[in-house]
This record gives sequence, structure tokens and C-alpha cells, in this order.
Amino acid sequence: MSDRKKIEWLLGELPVLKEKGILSGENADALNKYYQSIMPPKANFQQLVIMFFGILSAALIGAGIILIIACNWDDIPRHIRAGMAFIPLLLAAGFGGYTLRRGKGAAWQESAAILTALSSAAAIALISQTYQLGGTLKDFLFVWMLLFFLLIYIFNSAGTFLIYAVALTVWNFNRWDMFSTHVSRSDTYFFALFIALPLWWLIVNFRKAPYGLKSSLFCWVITIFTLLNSIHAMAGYNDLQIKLYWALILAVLFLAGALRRSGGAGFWGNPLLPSGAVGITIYSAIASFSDFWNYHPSYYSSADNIMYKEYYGWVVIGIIGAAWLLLLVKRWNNEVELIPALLPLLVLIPVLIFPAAGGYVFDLYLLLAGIVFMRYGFKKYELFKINAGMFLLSLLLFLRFVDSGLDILLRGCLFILLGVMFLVVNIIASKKFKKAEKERKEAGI
Amino acid sequence: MNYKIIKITLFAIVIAAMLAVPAFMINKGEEVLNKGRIYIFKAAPVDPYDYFRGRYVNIRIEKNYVPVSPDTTLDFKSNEAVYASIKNDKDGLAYFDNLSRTVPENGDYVKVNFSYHDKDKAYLLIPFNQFFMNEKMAPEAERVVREALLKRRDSCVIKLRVHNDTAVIEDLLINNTPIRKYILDLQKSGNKK
Repeated sequence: MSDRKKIEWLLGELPVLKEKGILSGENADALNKYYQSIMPPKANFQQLVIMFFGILSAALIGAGIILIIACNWDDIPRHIRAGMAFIPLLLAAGFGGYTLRRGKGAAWQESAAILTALSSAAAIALISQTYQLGGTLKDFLFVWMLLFFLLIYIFNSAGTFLIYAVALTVWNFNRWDMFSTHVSRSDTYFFALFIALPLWWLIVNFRKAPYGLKSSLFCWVITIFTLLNSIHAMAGYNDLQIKLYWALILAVLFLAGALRRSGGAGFWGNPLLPSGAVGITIYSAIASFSDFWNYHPSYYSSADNIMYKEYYGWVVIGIIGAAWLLLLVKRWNNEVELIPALLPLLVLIPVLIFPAAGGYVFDLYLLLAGIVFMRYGFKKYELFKINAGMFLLSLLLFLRFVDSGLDILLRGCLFILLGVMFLVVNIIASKKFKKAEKERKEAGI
Repeated sequence: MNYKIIKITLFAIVIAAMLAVPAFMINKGEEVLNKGRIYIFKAAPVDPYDYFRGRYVNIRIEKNYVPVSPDTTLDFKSNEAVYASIKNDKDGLAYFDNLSRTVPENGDYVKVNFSYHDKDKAYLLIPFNQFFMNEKMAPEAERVVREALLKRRDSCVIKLRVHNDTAVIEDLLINNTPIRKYILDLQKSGNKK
């Protein structure tokens, strides 16, 4: 339940409490006045629609101008063509200046920021085309991102942030590919810088309305961005660092999601939690195979870069580790969240102590998680948690039987047995919960 | 200072930087076209459409490598930025002669990326591989270039101007004729080669 919904519920209860004499009229009025004043504003969908079409029109106008100018007319002299490349940017500058001067609304701000960012890209691309300068997409995106990131702050533009996140992801994928044995040191540092650049803006916006529509959108962008870029974030690092990095980043996503949920974020406004939970499950499943823990020095950690890779890799892990610790402390008292959140610690056992035991550690981990989830589900009457627990236990059984080379007939029987078990447990639990609910109602709780 | 004024000032700085980058590119392009030395590379084909940059003919330098002796061990990594020196052979065609991590002291050079080493060749990833044209003329240019390169009936070369570490494709020549003129001549004569 969001903060607004909680307050609305409380305000709805006040007349009842007043009528029953639990609250005096004066106190009820004071509470009403106080909560009305702190109630977050209702999500204005009309404003959102206007903003969306503002962004769309800016993008279309920008793309149209770019295509017209990109015609590459041969009969126009080179100098004039070069001059024309500046026209969209100058128009966007005028539009942006007017928007700021007049203090126009969100739709104007978004449009101005996006138009300016796209015009800047167009100017660079068109000059590059006019002079046949060549160059790579990576270099182009690098310069462009540095030029337009400030527009996010100046216009408080979510649309420009989205463009920035996409551009950074494409740049990250372009700075390194599967066939490269060289990862540029400066590119690695710049990647960290690019991540840091919009952080302050994100923090400010999250603080303003932590569970609002804008924050929910940011959460989606952040989740997708984090997962996609994590594929390349540790480019050039060694095997152990990559294993630790993934365990930490998934646990951080999970814990941040859990924190958001406890604050009132709904399912659709909180992609961090399911992505972290699913990620941790997949990681644990893979880690339960002993082959996973046979140390393979990374193909990419070739001798020339090893020093900086080791150093930088540990810095990255240190930062994410600190975030993980911070979140862990905040969610320490929740036993069911603690199990998935402790994934990075479990990774340390095979990494630091006994690699051969890695598979068994994660077998035990899945078993324990399954039992804890089921126990918690039964205790708190939560059918979802019971099923999650059963899923983890079934996954463990399935994985071990895949390993064992068991007869196909036996495997078939096992799957049927698991299916029946799911069904029976759900029926029993539903009946038990209904009975408990009835008893609670009868007791007037 | 007023918050609005700070925003407007910042926006002005951003716009100035946004204008400065293409202006710098123009300056660089003009410098290379005016002062750069011409090198002629033999071409090899391909084509797509870049929505952001209009039509272009995708070209490839045939000798996209540096010749090395088979027993040479190169310590460059794939994708590493390197400087490739350019020289002309006895036929006046250019080729890449040497690779180094530092700027070569003599002669012209371009900044490229090392790709891989195979026997007697160190292959390079060369960034000047697109020749932009009028979107109406580009499909015809592709056909002409492809036929010239695949059938080996006509010569197709890339005229490159190099100054410092910057290279600009000045033209694409078919039988020593600039490709635009070559296509216009073809269209005038009504003879689609």
C-alpha cells in the first residue's frame, strides 16, 4: 500500500473512531488536518499523458529535421551543408532558453531537453557525414553523453535520462566484445563516471516522491540497466570477481526491492524485488553444479591488464559490497528476506575456503531456503511463500536428478509426484488458512 | 544567485559545448582536406542504411593489415588502439606499414584498432569505412562498386587524405573517376554498365 493509500485509509477511519468515542472531535480534526497536509499528491495521469506526447513530439520533430538535413544534397556546397547541421541545435537552444526563461511546465521541459539532446547528436553525425570523418559508434556516444547529461539536471527530464541510460548501455556494449582481449583502462574508468553522473538527480527525485509514478519508472530503468550492463560491467576481470560481483548485485537488487516494498511500493512499481529474487534463484541453481566452482582464470584477464583489473574489480566489488551491507543492516530483522540476501556470504565459502564444496554449499542453501520459505508461509498464512519454498525444493530435486542420469521412467514419476505434492500442499494450506480466518473472525480479532 | 539564472547559465554552457564540438570537427575536417597528404587504397565492398547519417556506401580497405614476418610475436591485444604508419608501394597504392602504441616519429599515420594476428598479417579495425552519398545516388553507387569489386572489371579505390592522426575519405574512384561523376556519366549515356 502506498503512503497516500495508507493516509486515505486512516482518514476514512477517523469518523468511525470519532463516532465510537475512541477519539475526541478535537483530536480527530487535528489528525485529519495533519495527515491532509502530508498526504502525497495523487498521480496526475493527465499531466503524464501530456508529458508523454511532449516527449514524442520532440523526438519526432528532431528525427524529422535530422532526416531532412541528412539528405546529403550533393549540389549544396560543403560549407553550407556544414552550417545547416547547426540549425536544429540552434532551434532547440532557442526553445530550451524560452522554456527556462518562462518557467514552462513539465511537458515543455521534457520536449526542450530531448530536442536539444537529439539536435546535438544530429550536429555531430551530420558534420561527420559531410566531412567523411568516419569514427566509431562508441566514440560518438562518448562525446554525445558528456555533452547532454547536464540537460537531465537543467530540465529535470526523465525522458533525457532514459535516452542517457540507453546510450550508456550501447556504449558499454561497444567498448568491449566477446572477441576482444583488450579492455581499455580509461573506458573502464569512464564507465564508472558515466554511472555516477546522473546519480544525484536520481537521488533527489527519489526523495521527492519515493513511491510515485516517476520513481517507479526509474526503478524499471535502473533494474533493466543494471542487469544489462552487468553483463559487461566486469569485462576484463577474473572469474572470482565476476562470481562475487553477480552475487552482490543480485542481493542488492533484492534488498533494495524489499526495502521499497516495506515502504509501500506495489508489484508494478518495484521490479527490483522480483528481478533480484529470480536472479538469486538462477544464480544458486547454476552454483549448485560443482563445475561452476572449478576456478577458470578468465580468458580476458591476460597479463598486461591484470594489475589494474584486479584493483579496479575489487573497488567495484567494495562499493557494491558496502551498499549490500547497508541494506542488509536495514532488513536484518526479516528472516525470510535474510536467506536470499546472504547469497554473497555463501559465495565466499567456495571462493575463499574450499572450492570443491561449492556445489554442496548451494545444494544446502536451496534446501534451507525452501524449508524457511515454506515454514514462514505456513506461519504467516502466505500461500505465495509456501509455493516459493516448494519451488526451490523441487528445483533442487530436479537439478540433482538431471545430474544423476536417472532412468526416464523414474524421472517421469518424480515429476508427477512433485506436481501432486504442489497440488496437495496448496489444497491443505488453503483449507487451513480459511479455517484460521474463520476462527479469527469468530473470536473478533 | 537565482535558481532560474543558474539553470539558464548552465544551459548556455551546455549549448556552447554542443556547438563547439561540431565546430571543432569542421575545423579538423577542413584542415585535413586542405593540408592532408593523399593516399590511394584499394577497396573491397558491402552496404547498409544508417538512419541517423543518411545513405552511405560501406567500403573496406583491401589491405586492412600490416604485413609482418610469420615468426613475429605481437603483444597487441584485440581492440587495442594503435597507430598504423602509411606508405605507398611501387604502383602508388597505399598500405599500412607498421604498428606502434606511440605516435610514429616520421611519415603519416592513422589511429586504428588492432584486430588479430594471423601468420604474416596483423589485421586492423579501420574506422573510415563509410562513404556518404546522396541517398538517391547511393544505391547506384553500391551497385557500381560491387560490380567493380566482384567482377574485377573496373578499378575501385579509396582516396584518403591524412593529416596528423586524422583521415578523411575524400572520394571513391572508379577507373580513376570520382564515383559521383562516374554515375552521372553512366546516367547521361543511358548505359548502365
